[in-house]
Amino acid sequence: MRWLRFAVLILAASILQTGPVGILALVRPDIKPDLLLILLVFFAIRCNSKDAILASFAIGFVADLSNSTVPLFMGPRIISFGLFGMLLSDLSSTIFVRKVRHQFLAIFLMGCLTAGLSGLLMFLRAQSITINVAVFLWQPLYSAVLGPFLFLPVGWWMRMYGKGRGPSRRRALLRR
Amino acid sequence: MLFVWGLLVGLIFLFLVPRDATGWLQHTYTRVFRWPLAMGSGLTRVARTTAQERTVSSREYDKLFQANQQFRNACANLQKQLQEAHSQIEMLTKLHARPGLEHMQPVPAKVVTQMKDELTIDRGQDSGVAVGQCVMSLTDTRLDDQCVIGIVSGVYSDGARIKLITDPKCGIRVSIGTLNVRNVMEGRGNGAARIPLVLYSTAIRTGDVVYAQRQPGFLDVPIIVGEVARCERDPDNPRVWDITVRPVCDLTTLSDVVVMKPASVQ
Repeated sequence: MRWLRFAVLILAASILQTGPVGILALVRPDIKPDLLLILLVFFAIRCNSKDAILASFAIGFVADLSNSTVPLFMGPRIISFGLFGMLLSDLSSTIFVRKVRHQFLAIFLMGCLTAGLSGLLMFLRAQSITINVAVFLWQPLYSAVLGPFLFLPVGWWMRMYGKGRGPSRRRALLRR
Repeated sequence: MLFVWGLLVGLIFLFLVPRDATGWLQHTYTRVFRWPLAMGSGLTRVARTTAQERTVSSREYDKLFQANQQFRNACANLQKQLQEAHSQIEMLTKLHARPGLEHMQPVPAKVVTQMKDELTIDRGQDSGVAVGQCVMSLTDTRLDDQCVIGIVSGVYSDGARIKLITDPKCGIRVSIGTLNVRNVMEGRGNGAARIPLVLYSTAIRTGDVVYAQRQPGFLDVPIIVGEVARCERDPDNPRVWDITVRPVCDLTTLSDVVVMKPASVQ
């Protein structure tokens, strides 16, 4: 894992997420792709377990840091991204996430789950929550549609050209 | 192990780190990357505005136009109400500052109904209005020459009945001009009032000013109530005058009045 490239990528993604990604908003300003969610899925399915966990927490931290919708609160995304990033990383060693539709599904599910857990944690902390369908459903859906296409440039930047790990590695071992 | 540490960091941030500290971290991030963030926000705003300009349909435009019109109407109404409230406050402040009325509290009221020699106003017991209190005219143009127009004759929780000085059942203690005449003025019922039992030897002329007399707790200073419109020798009792008093303001067109209550009454 090239951590310097990773840091630059995450920072760029967070800045883009806060600003220019708004151009891609559909219908409402909050229905826009979540670049950090896409990166979370990318690193969870392409890195080894240790790197994936580290990357997940780091992405969660940056997501909380740049979160402009609920300012003054940090932690919900660190926990939700870390937890589900690790789960996806573990699952990707047994479930094959190579095809575009699998990546679509993975991003969508991860988006819904992380948003749900973040909302729950926010409720526990602030004792109040606003159910925003855009964040819980439409944003993950939009990210899922766009995500698989972003995997290519991200893979090039991170020098990770492999299409998923786990089964392919297992197959490679079996071949040996 | 790494996961546990990460989770712990998240929980610490969520539950233990004060909001000020997390806010400071987020603020620092925004400050450090303010230039690209501002550029991105500007870009988004421009794109969104352009997109909106393109996508508003004629139906939406009509709807927005109507909403805008309604909003403007509401604004205009509010502005007018505010202006009226300001002018009323200004008038009441001036009235309150008048010599002799410092210990009185003016209660502005709107005339709800007007019958012959009687008014109903929209302020009552809840506003401290009580039977016997003096009622004065309240108009923009004649702040300095306000006059007593009647007496509160009945109160409800949110309204009161006023007997005008022209009502035959209304009696107000008055004095005439600079003369040492103290008497009770009664209404005549035909838009005028009369002062009975004033000795004929008293030098009274048409045009003399009639004042409502000072009444502790109701009126601290004498205030004009009308002027002598006619004074003739009483045909039934030649020893006294038959004095007709005409109110100094038009009682038929009153829309705002002010009830004078003692400042201590809540």
